[in-house]
Amino acid sequence: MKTVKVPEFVTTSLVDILRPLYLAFKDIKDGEKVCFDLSSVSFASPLFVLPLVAYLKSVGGDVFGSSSKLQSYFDCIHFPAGVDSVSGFEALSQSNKTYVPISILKKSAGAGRDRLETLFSNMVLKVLGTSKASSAVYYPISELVTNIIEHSKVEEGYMFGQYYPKKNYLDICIVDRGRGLAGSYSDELGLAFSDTQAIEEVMKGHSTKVNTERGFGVRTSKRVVCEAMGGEFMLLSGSAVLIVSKGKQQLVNLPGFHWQGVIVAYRIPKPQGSIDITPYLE
Amino acid sequence: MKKQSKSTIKIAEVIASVVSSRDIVDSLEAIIKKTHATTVELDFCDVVFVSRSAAHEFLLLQKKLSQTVLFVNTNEDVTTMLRVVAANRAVPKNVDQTLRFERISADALFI
Repeated sequence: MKTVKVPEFVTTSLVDILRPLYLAFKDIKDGEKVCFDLSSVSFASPLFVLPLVAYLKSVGGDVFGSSSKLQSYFDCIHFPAGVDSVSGFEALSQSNKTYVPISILKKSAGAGRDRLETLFSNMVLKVLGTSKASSAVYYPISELVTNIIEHSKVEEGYMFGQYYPKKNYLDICIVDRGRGLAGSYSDELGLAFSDTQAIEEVMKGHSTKVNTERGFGVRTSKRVVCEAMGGEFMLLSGSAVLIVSKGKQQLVNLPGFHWQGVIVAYRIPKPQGSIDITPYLE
Repeated sequence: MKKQSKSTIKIAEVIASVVSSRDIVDSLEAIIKKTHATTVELDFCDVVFVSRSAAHEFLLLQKKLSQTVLFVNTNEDVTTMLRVVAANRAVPKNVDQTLRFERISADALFI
């Protein structure tokens, strides 16, 4: 099995967390089993951990070389198994924690999936210590998860959150291993978009369904995260990524890299009061 | 079978207190039909949030069924979401063709 050494994270900005993910998965062929060497990794963020979980669960492979501190963290968050049931989630969330467990949403679980997602969202509110910003927390999670379930055409989606009390922000990552954004446009509408074009169309609100009343979920989620909450947003699919941070919206082609599916990651500062998302709804 | 005049379905019990998924709302259709009631109240008591997608699906369901479907006990957030989506159904917004992104290379991003 191929071994890939994951580079150390330089800083904790979203872009700097994307870099080791990009370097680790660069030049890996789709479906190739890999052993990830984590000996240089001292810090693990949802944007790094969750794609790794999704890859290991969908393709196979392994990790090794984790420091005792990192391994201890992995044990806490149930890496890479995660939880896929309400009872499993409740068992993990009994004590006061800063992470929101790695949760596996199964399409076939029906209403149980929405109940697990409800627990996840409520725990995000709990670790943030707020109830006044509930709509701003619920909106992006609910829209991004329903997008995964509806568009990926695979059985499982993944989500994970981590609050950093000293830095006063929360990172959330939502991942699937489905057909990706370009694949959705191709399958549903017969449109041959590149990965960058597909991201652009999603953000414009171009639905992959013929219905003109749809297609707002991702772009409104981005606005709620960035404009209502003052956060940062990242949408990656195939070989392209959109990064929205500090007023900049950058679309980047990632040569040699291809993620089968979609990765959404965002960072929100701890809300200081109530947040009204009504101006962003459409 | 003689139809009942009214039936109530508690959404928080049948689905969850945060309703996200279109497919789950869609699955309500069979439950509503099974009531054989002429009027079905979807009771949103204890529902704290409904996603835009789910709200859209609730509205589609309301229009699709021959039974009268009412939304009751909706909190402020759920009411707002249903109203915004209903307004958008009446006058849909267009795709934003003006949106432009700065295109940069991976090398420039990871400097």
